[in-house]
Order: sequence, then structure tokens, then C-alpha cells
Amino acid sequence: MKLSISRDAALPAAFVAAVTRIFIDLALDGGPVHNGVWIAALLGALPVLPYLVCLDMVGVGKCRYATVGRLLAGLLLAATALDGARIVSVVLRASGFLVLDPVSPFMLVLPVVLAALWCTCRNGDAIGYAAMLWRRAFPALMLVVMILQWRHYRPQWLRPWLGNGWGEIAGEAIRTAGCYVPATSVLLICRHDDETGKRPFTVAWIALASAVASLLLVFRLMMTPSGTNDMAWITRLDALLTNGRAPLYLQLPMIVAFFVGLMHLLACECFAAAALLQRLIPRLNGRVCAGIVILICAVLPFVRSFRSMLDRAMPWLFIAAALPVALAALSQFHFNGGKRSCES
Amino acid sequence: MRKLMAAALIAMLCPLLCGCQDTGEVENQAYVLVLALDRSGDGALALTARVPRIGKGGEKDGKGDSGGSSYLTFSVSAASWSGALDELQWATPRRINLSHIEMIVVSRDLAAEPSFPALMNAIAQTPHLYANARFVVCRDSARAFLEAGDTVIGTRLSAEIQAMLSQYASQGFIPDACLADACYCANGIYGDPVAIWGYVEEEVTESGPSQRVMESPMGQRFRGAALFQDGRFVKALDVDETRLLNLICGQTATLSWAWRGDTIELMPVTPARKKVDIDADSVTLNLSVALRLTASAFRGDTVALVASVKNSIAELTASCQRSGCDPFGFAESAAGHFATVPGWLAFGWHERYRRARINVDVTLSAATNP
Repeated sequence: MKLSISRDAALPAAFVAAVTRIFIDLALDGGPVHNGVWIAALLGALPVLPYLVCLDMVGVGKCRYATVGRLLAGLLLAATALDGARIVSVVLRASGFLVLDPVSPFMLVLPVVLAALWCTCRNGDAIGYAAMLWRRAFPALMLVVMILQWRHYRPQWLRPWLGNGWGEIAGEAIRTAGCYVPATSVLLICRHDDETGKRPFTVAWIALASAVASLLLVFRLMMTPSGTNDMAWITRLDALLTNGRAPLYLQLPMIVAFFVGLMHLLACECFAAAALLQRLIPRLNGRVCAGIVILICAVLPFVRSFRSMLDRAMPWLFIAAALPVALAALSQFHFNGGKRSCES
Repeated sequence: MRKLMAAALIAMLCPLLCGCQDTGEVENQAYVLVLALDRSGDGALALTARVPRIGKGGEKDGKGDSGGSSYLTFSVSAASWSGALDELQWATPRRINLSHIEMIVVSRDLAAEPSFPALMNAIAQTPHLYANARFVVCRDSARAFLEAGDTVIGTRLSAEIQAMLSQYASQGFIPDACLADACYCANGIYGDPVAIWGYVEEEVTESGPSQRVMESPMGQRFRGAALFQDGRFVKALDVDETRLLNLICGQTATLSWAWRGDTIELMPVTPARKKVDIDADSVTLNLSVALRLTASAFRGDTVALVASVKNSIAELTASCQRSGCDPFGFAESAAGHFATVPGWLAFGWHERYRRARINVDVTLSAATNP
């Protein structure tokens, strides 16, 4: 089985993955939420746009400089698989919070891992078109959430606008740029089926993704006042899912939006990592690649210091990925005039 | 077809894997409806929990039989919140479940302790504790307050608490305060949290400061607001002050105003507008309230009525300024003058708020006939 995805399917998959990844990182997983995170979400997209232009130009398997292509694929494979493991750990902690009785972490992880494996084995187009459907369903769901929460939104809580200042915003923006690397790695392995037809503009899609993530963060910031003390991860999740105030029966839309978004993100990243692995070792069957990647994603969250290691690497991730992508794109441009991808 | 069957099998397996394998029967759960916290004589944290009784006794009592309570009360004490919860697990024959708490009551003495902000955070961050529970500070012992309340209307204590407090909040007698809001405000960079003020009335007949006389079969009273500063209780407001507080905070649809032996129904035309002017060395608070008469039959002196409301608002804000607590939301408006949170924190809002000048503007328009 060969893992592949068309460009038409890869773009919505990358869009949903990018929005979810940025939102999870800035609103939940990246420490205290301060007022400037929505600006960081916008600024983080700026260096990513040229990166995506380069990514659009390169492929992996048949680059003129094979070493650069393999280095790029290996790097993105590692980043995407590790990020998939991080998403599994978010699911693990969030499920543990919502399940009323104590349950073994293994049992919490197993369903989501099985679902991700099944999605990956259905191949890329299934994941991409599912993301396309979610992209349409999500705004409707968010509309319900916003109507339910409208009374509690306080625009005054957005001020002071810059949060802890430009220094922290810049740090968050670099982290945000790092979030795009695993979320958009699916674009590297997508098929360019119709080169002559009208091609969706990748940069516009990802710019839109950053705007959507930023808008979601604005609404998140209006739910709770900016705090001087760091709230625990669980409290941040509670504020995100229930606003701390929503009656139990009104929490469902937010919980559905959160977990379905996470599932799309995980499926996209697992598929991208498995497909990259297959590009590096073409003899491997796609299902085997999917199994290896899923196993990594399932096991790593249980490794001590995994999250702290990933947190330390996150600010450097974008720079580490951007350099080989730029190098590969330059080589393509030089030898192919930038008209064809490496795989076509 | 084979793939479809495999997908269906996986889908069927998923619910079995996640939590449902070890189902928690309702009969095995002790759903805590009200929690009361006190500081005991030996300095320990005293925790009292009220849970519904399950079985024939509960069903019988639940139908209104006066032969006993439908609820069990458990009391434990420990050095810390987590220790008290652990003790409660031991004292209760069923598994403690905090996901359906309706009300958390804290005694005034405990709420005024320096360690209370940390305790409030610990409570709010307890896994599976329903943070939307109403937050009440009571004048005396929280345990006595809890024991003074039992089902009067309906058959369920939880339903009664919800209905009663919603009714009081809509009338403006109490603030619409929940634990999550109090915790967010206490940890936030803006104003101060508020809670519901409660006390136990031994006498059936109560005569309040505004010459109201009330008879009620309930021993518990929910009247007024408890104000906090830096996460600690500082003072309580009576019903009339609480109505004004709710008016300023935009939490009430009507204002019943006792004036010259009569009660006049007023309605805010728009939410009260708060603006803060910051100069180099002074802060000016501007509060603008626009009211409308709900009945066109009023023929009294509207100028005097406006002056009465204005004076009361000025007295309330001055009283809160002296205590250093800002439950009105002036801080949120003032924070807009700053670009960054460190700049805002360095400004030292609470100290400046104490010394701020306040301009109150009240306008009253006549009732519009339909």
C-alpha cells in the first residue's frame, strides 16, 4: 500500500491541523495565557509564508540533491511524529480530566490511537476530505458555542492589548511558527495531479488558518481575565471547555469541537509522518509505516521528560525545518526553473 | 463489506475501552450537593458535605414526609483541603462525587484568612469539581448554615438551591456569583471577586434595616454580597447596597428603590457606563447610570429621587474605596490605558483606587407608555 494524498485533500488537512495546533499550543499547552497571544498567532504566520512557498516547490524522493531531500524528509518525519505524540499526550490528559472514574492511561490512549491508525490506513484523501467536511461543520458548531457563551464574553479582558509585552509576543510567535512545521508537513508529500488546472494558493490557505486561530484566541481571552498567577493545565482546560461556568448540558458543543479537532490534527500528522517514512524507506508497506508511527505516538507520552524536551525544542523547530526547505527549494529553482516539483 | 465490518467492530470496541469498562453506578456515588468549610478550634479545616440519601428513607422523605431528612451530612477535619477530601472519602460509605455541587459555603472567618486565596485555588482546581457552584460566604459557622437548610420546595435540594438563588439573583438581592468567577477574579489582574452573603436567622420573623418584615420557614438567608480584596473577604453589603452593585455591574434588569415609604421600580436604560481618567498624579472614576421609571403613575419629585439614588451610589463606592476593593469593574476600564500587563501592575491600581475621585451621574427618564 502506498500512502499518498492529493493536493486538493492535503490543503484542508493542513488548514485544520494548523488551526488546531496553534490554538492548542497558545491557549492550553504553552503555559499561562496572556493577552497578546492572538497577536503572536498572526505574527507567527509571517515567516511561515515564504517557508510554505518553498515547501510547495520541493518534493522528497527525486530531488537533484538527494541528501538534502532525505535530510528534509527525516527532519519533518521526526518533528511530525514527535508532535503526534504530543497531541496524544494532550488527549490523554484531557480525557483523564473528563472521565469521572480513574482509568488506566493505557485505556485512555488506546481508542484514539486505534482511530488514528484506522484513519492513516484509509490513506490521505480520506483524511483530507474528512478535514474538508470538518472545516464546514466547525464554524456552525462554534456559532452554537458563541451563542451559548455570549453573555460571558468580556471584551474588556482583552486589555492591556500587548499582554506581557513584545518580548513575550515574539517568543510565542516563534513557537507558533514551529507549530506550522508538523501541521503542514503533509504538503511536502502531496500529489500534484493537475499541474495545468487552477491550483489552490497554499499561502492564502495558511494565512487564513492563522487568522482563524487568532480569532479563536480572541474569544478564548474574553472568557477569563488575564491572570497574574499561572493557572494549572487542568484549570486552563476547564476554562477552555466549560468557561468554568457553563452548565453541564451546555458543555457538549465545546467538548465535541475540542476532541474532533484534536482527532483531525492527530490523523493528519500521523499520516504525514507515515508517508514521509515510506518516502525514506520505499520498500516499507504503508500499513507498516502507519503502525510504526502510531506506536511511537502511543509510547512517547509515557516517557518521562518527553514534554519538557519537546518544549525546549519547539522554538528551534521552525529554523531547523526552514533551512533545508530553503536549500531544497533553491536547488529545485536552479535546476528546474521552479516550474516542477521534484516528484512530478 | 469486510472493511465495513472491521470499522464497525473498532467503533464498537472504543466505548468499551475508555472508562465504560468500570461503570460507576449511581447507587455507588455520594453526590455532594453542598460543601461547607470552617476553621475549627484547633486550627484544622472543617469540611461538611451534604449528600442525598439513597434508599427507602430517601424516597419517603423526598415526597415531603417530615419524618427525617432526605440528605446525609458528613463532617471531617484535616490540616489541608486535600487532607479533608481524603478524610471525607473515608467517612462516606459511597464514592465521593463532586461533579454536581450546587453551593460552596465558607465561613466569614475562614474567608478573611490570609491563606484563603490559596485554599480557593485548591478547591477550584480539584478534579471533577463543578466550578459553576454558587459561592457563599456566611456570617457565622458554615456548618450551622448548611444544617439550617433543607428541602422546602419540590423534592430535591439541588433543584431548590438552583431555583432559589436564580430568583434572588434576578431580583438583585444577591450577586450572580459562582466559584469559577470568584477564582478567576481573585487570580486576575482586574477587579475583585464577590460572593453571596448568607446567614442563619433563628427568629422566624425578620425586621431588616429598611423596615422590611419577613416570615419564612427557612432558617437560611441569602441576602447581600460578600466583597473580597486580594482574594480575602473584607466586608459584606446589605440587600440595598447589593442591588446598587448589581445595577452598576449590569447584572440586574430592575431596581426596586425604597423611597419615602414607597417602593419604586426603576429599570436601567443601558448598562452603567464606567470610565476612568488617569492623570499624572490622580485617578478619576466616572460612573454614569441611566434609569427609567417602569410605571407612568409616579407623580413624585423626580429630582429628589435621582438625588437619593445618586447619594446611595456615592456612599457605596466611597465605602468600597475605603476597603480597597473594586467589585464594580473600574479596573477593567483603567487597564485599557496601558499597553502591557507589567505596566498596568506597576501602576498599583488598588492604592490609586482608594484615593480616586468619583463622579456619579444618574439620569431618570419617564416611563414610556406602550
